[in-house]
Amino acid sequence: VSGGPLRGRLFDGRTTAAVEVQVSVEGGRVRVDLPSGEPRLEAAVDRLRVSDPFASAPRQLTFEDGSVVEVTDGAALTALLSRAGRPPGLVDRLQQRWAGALAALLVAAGLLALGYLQGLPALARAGAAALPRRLERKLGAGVLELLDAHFLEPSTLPEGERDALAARLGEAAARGAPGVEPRIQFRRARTPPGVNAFALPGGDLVLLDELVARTGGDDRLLAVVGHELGHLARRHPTQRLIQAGGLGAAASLIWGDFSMAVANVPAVLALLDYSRDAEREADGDAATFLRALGRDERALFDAFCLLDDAEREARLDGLPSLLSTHPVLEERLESARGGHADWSCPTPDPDEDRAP
Amino acid sequence: VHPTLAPRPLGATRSTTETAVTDPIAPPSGPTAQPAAPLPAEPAPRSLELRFTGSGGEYFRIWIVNLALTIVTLGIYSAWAKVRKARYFSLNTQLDGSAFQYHASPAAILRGRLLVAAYFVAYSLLGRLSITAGLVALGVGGLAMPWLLVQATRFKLTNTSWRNVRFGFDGTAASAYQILLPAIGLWLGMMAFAPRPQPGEQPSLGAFGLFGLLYLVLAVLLPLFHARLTAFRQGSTRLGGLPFAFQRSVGAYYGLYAKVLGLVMAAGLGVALLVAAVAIAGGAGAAGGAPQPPKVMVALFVAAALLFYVLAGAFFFARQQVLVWSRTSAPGVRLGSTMQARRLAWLLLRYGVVTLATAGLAWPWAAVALVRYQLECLRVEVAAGALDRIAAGGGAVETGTTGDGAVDLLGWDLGW
Repeated sequence: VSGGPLRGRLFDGRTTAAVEVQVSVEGGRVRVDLPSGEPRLEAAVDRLRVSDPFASAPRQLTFEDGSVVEVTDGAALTALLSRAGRPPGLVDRLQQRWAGALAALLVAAGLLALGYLQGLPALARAGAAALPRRLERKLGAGVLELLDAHFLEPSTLPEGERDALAARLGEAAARGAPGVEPRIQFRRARTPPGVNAFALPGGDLVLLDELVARTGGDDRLLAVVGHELGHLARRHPTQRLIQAGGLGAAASLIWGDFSMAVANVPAVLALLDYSRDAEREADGDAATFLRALGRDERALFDAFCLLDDAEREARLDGLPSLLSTHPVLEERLESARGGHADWSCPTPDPDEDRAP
Repeated sequence: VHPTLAPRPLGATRSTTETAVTDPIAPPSGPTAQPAAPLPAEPAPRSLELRFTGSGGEYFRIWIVNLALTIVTLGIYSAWAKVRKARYFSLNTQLDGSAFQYHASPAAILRGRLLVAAYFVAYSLLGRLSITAGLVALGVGGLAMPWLLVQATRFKLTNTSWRNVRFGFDGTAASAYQILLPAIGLWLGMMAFAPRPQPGEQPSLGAFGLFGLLYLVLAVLLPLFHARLTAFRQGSTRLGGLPFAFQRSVGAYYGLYAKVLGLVMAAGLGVALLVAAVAIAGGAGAAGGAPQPPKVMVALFVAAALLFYVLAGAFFFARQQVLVWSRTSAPGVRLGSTMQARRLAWLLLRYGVVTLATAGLAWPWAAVALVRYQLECLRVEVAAGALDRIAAGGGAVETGTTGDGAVDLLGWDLGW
């Protein structure tokens, strides 16, 4: 293939009138001649603006005086320009090849997956770490207000019992998990299962009546509290809320009108659904907590037995398990069992409380 | 109407009219579209071919590389991606053997996008903090809309060329406000009185009634707003010094909306009958008298509703194309569209299913097929030589792009 000439049309930019021309590329210069051979335009290839090298589209050469020469056979012009030292750019070449498209597909899918699995939690961690303690406490207050409005009601435990328990657990926390300083709160769940506890951003630790009743305040309760203290120490509640609801939900719970906060219910419910990793970390913290207090680690295993039991009952009753939290209970039960093959859960009997 | 149905190059071609907007509205002409201004009695008019030379495969490669680069650059590249896509569709659209070209600078588009994104972040944050702050932000955005619309249209047109002559847009923001302020007022009123569930509080009947009333008024006036806006856009467009004109027709728009409303109501009735029939058949089939699980019914209902939605959307879009183009003209140029609702619906359904089945990967093929069909339907008749002597028009090349960014982010397209 010689260096042209290719057929083109010249548009001077003053009118839409077309002038038929011949375009050739020689010695690094583009020449535009009339069919008669009379020269019309000439420029070095690197002094031109050239439109994108699409497969079957024409290409336009824009000269310094504003004239445009449109070459219908864009692919042929691309070949000539490449030989003259003006090849398509990197992105152009990627878009011309299926291999480039495949690579782009893999990169896009990989980065989206990575962003969702790693980037989002990392951002939430950074957001939680950057949030001042004072605002974090306001965030927790907003969450509790919302939970009270929709899912919880005041505790029916005798006030004396609550105070004594709060004092005992606060003291245990000070010894077993120094620096966390939880505020123990008592509530009742409006719908079963109410055998549960959860930590809120800023340090509120909510114990549901049924959990207190079913454990009788024994070491299983300590194990559950140790688990929630682990979440608090690692700021899991704040991270999870930011991850699920975004900064908008957090801002709304901190400063927002209460009425608008209904939109935040999904973000708040996400507080009851931590990742496996977060639960594993908190379980480890619970075991450490029990050891620090000089208690038997088996209490954690027994606490899981109780939760498992409660969830099974709720399922049998066909009740919505809104507050049922830990989807991977089986796995965690096995993990808490450790090497103790002889440990096993008691056969379910709701009327009988197990001694620690 | 699917935004992507309007390719950039078309946005450019479609143009047109005089300064109809400030005039009182013309008396409704019949619902049937009528051809626009007669051609000058010169040599026989010539029918020009609009050709689309792109392919789904090539656009897929461009699209996926654009997507990957946008992700890698955390969105920054999206402005360059947009320009490349616009140039792909422009350069692959040929009128009378010459291609269109898109000239916008990606940096200008990026600036516009950042501004608009900042507004949306502010709006969503304010909206979550208090109703009043959210409404104020919404009001600011709503009031800016006509200005943004004019900016975006001008940006797109002045950055599009054919035969090295730029399109242009002479519409002013003042005219846009004259047309749209009543609609925006009604809409903001609706937002202000929209019922919001408050825990433990009865919704106020008065506010609800007012909301309903405003909604009704807006719905009744919608065809009027649409007709005036189309006349404004088509009639303010020019190619260089060649001004386009639009034969206004509020009546035709009311006719179109009435037909679509009738279609939707018939479809609703059809779906209701279908569901009833299935329920009866199901009840008869379940001999034990046990209630049939509603899952099948729900799936059936959703499928039927989606189908009717696509059909009604295709009908609306196709009829609108015919209406708009048959009423658009320029000295020596007559336009038209032969788009058929049936063919458009079939295209949408076919490519919709394939796109869903491939998790969106087949989207570029769908986009190309829809653009190609739309272009093939366009009719351009010109008096001999009418397109060969168009002088480049005055008017500076547009560089501000906030409007374009807004229109993009909101998923609008100006090419109805």
